[in-house]
Amino acid sequence: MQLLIEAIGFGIASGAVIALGAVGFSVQFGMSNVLNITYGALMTLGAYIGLFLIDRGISPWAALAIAGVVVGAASVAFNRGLLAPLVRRGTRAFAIVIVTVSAGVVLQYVIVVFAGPDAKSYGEQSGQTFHLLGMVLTASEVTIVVLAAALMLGLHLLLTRTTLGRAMRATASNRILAQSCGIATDRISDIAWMLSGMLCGAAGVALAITTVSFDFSLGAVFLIPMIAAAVLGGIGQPYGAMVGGLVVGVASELAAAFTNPAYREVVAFGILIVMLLVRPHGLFGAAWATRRLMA
Amino acid sequence: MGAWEYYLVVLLVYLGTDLLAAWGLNLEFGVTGVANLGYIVTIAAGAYAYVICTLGSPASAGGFQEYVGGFGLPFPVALAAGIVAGSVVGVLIGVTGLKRLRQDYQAIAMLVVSLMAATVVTADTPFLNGNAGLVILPQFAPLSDQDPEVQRWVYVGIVAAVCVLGYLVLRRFTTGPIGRTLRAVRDDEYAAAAIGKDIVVLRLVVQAAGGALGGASGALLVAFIGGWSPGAWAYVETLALLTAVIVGGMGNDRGVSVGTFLIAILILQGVQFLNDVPALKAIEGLLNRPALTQDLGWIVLGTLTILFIWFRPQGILPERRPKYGGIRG
Amino acid sequence: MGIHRWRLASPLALATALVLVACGGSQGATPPTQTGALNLGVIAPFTGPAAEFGTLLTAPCLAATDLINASGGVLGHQVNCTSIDDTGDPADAVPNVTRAIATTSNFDFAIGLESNTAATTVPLVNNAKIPFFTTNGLVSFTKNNFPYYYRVTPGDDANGAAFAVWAVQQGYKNAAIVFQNNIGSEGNLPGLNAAMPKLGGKVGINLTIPADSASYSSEVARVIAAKPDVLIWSADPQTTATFLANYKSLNNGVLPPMVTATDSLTPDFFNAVTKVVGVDYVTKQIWLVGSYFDQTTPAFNTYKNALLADAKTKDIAPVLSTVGPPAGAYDGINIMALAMIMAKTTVGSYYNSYILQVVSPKSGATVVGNYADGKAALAAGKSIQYVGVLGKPAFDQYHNSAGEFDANKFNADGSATQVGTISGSQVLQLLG
Repeated sequence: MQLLIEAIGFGIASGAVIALGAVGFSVQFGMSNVLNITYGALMTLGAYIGLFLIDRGISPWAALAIAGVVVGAASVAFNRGLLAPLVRRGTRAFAIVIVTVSAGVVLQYVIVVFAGPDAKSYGEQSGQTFHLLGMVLTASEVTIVVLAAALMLGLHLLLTRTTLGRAMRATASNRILAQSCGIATDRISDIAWMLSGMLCGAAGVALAITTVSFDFSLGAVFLIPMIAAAVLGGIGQPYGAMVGGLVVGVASELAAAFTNPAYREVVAFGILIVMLLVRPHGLFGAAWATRRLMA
Repeated sequence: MGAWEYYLVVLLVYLGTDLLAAWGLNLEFGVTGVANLGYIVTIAAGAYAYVICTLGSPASAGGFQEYVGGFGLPFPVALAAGIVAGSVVGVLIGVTGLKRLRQDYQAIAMLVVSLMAATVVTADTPFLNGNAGLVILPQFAPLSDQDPEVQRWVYVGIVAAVCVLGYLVLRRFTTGPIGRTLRAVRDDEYAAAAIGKDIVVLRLVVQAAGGALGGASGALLVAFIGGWSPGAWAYVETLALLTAVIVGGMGNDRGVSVGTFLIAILILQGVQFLNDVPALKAIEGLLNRPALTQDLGWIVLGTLTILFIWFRPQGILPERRPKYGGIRG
Repeated sequence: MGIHRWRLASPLALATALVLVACGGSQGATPPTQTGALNLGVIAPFTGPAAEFGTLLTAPCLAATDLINASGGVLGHQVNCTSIDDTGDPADAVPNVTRAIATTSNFDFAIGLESNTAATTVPLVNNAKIPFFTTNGLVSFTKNNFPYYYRVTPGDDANGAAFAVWAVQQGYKNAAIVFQNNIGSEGNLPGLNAAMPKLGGKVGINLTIPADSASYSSEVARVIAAKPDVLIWSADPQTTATFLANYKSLNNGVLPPMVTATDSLTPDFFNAVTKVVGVDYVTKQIWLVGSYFDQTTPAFNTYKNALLADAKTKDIAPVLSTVGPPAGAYDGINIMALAMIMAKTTVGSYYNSYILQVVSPKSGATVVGNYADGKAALAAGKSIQYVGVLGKPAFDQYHNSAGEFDANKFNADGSATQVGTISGSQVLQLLG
């Protein structure tokens, strides 16, 4: 029983990081309709930018913000330079997915060439330990949980309460119709990629803080749990991705606590496959994003 | 046997097994449009099936590795078992794509199947000896009564013969009525269904055939190299095959063969020769990295794929048929 | 269907061409004379997840060849280290190694061939009649029929049993065994599980964990609940750092003592773990158990000084000089080079039969601990016995020599100090 409660606590902590990345992935996918596997390598890039900054004496939380901005810009450039033109030419979905997988591999190995393949670390950042309802969380985990919740809330408000958000949803749902209503869809799309890229970079640094030690495969390893969380929550749904992240996080920790820990990742894999087969529009699928999940 | 001659044998065996694998992937991906990012699992299944059929029981084989089965069967039977295993796994992976999911979702589902398979095999040591993998000792026994030098060339002949057979099977699917139906399914599923084609059955048959080619590839490879472990079938291996298919020309059997030769032999072996280039040595010294070639190999592969999809999506040898699809819809 | 038939021609033509090429090539009875420098192959992963091994095995090669070349080379030939990247993938290794065998002139000896790829690379190098000292730990090579194969480091199962012996010797009775899901750890487990109860200890909990997870909090909670007095551990630096950081957070900053393999005696491990849990824990509470060597012998000093003298290895020399597999590789190079002198040829198929003679004890032999002394003694017409950094190799009929074991601790600068020894015969008894 003790272990059960503890594992749920650990799951919330790791789920928050997954959620952070999953929300960005979800927004990007909902907006562009492109399944962007390069997202994983961009997360790794965020973690290494964080390392570069922290090694030069910048605080981890400032590094998180800066890495977010840099990766956000990189995301916009990646979309503008490569993905959007391919989509415009009518390149098919599976070819685009292969482009994003390939771009991810290229970016990952470019990072290896410059930074080397060995394990890196920001040093221990976890700080003080808090005991809460039988759960044990470190200061950095609490910060990340709060940060993730705040970003989620902010994003939700942005999407539902502002003109920009309404324009984003309109563009995601029907680009041509949105354009004819006078929405500058290219600019809106840039903003969406920027936002999701920022979440991606921030998630990379947050991941590196929680794992304490990381290498060039960081993003590739966590991409699948993030996609699982995004699909579970329903593409384009910030709250859904948050819930999805928590479910994936808690399920993985429960697997580690009560079965062979070597199978902890299989849980996220299983959730993703089951969701794809049974309910590809997710638990909280939004009408504007779900219709194109089927072929 | 001269060392160069042996290197040539190795390259020919690798070319043959890579060709079988690329043809199988092209059948699923290029011809039918099933983007199977988990294709390497069919190769692994063929290899493992071959090994456990060839070896005797774990105790009789020295007791140093754990595995299920152990049947002590001769080479042709073990090879057939590898082909069947690849085929079965191909169908199992295919089931994840049966529902009419978007192609990119399908691709991810299959990628995840590949990751799951690797996790299960490594975590469950009694199944197929986990990370350490399985070793065939004594090594290379298909024709054990022959002189080893002759054996190797005979083996190249066997691989070539299986390639010929594989090609014949492949042509059954890529030409004629079946081929036209498959392309129709790829290019417009709904229209194909509307004219009465049973898409589910078609796809499963293709997955079985593609998997059989993968299984043959894995079995022939492991019989030659004598060992197989999870390190040999990481999911990224599928990408190298995919690059071969895209560069060569999706849906064109000859194009894919050319692509396989280019990627598997010229580029992946070519980068190894870069080790001797002084400029690269200087860069390696500068970055304090003793060996960059393998990393560069991945960068080259990924970049090539992107460049081809961007500049020449039809590949070196385009699919010859009325134009209504390809990478661009 | 005439059009289709020619397409089949290419594989068929290939097959015919092959049969034609198959003829030709045979070997004479007298050793051919080689000219120019000799190449020593370092067959190891230089890229991929196990790339660290490449660096670890290049260092002893540089140390050995620096000394050999300084003393005038082998039979007048200088010796180069040639890196051969096996990538850690048993399938990709095959073309890389055969290519190296084909393209490298005077490829006369090799080291490396570690666990990830040994299954496919050992037969290749053996068939090329190149003698080699491997550092793999696979139990599968405990009995083998490769005449060119030599191993002076213990198998993984023996290593596992040695962990148990050391933990119990330190007074620990309740071990938590936590191993990463990888090749070496997997090999340690059977020996460890067999030995622990025989020594009167118990295994409180035994977990296999995946590498590079975001957190190991649940695993840590399970380990803490088992109240272990020692953690018997094997994992990569990154996984170790994450696990220990989680442990510290969940156990009020207290970490249990750890017994792990000398495989972790690397700068990467030291740096990654120190950065996370502090140098105090790393130097005081971690024992690293592996192949024994006596750090007071002249042979060891020669080896360490050679590492310190080469600009490429001097930074890692303090740590590296106490790690078993590289030291075994260094000894192996000296043994093979001395065998070449005894055989009066550098060709593997001829000098291979002299390798056991270099190390076999014989009355009246001059005991030598380095290449230069051995060369001088042979030139003076004496018989020699090589006793190297790892002591006296005692090869069994399969050319395996497990040797003795020792325990080490890290120093604050990342170097290591030997703190105790474990008898090799005791370890083998526990396995039996």
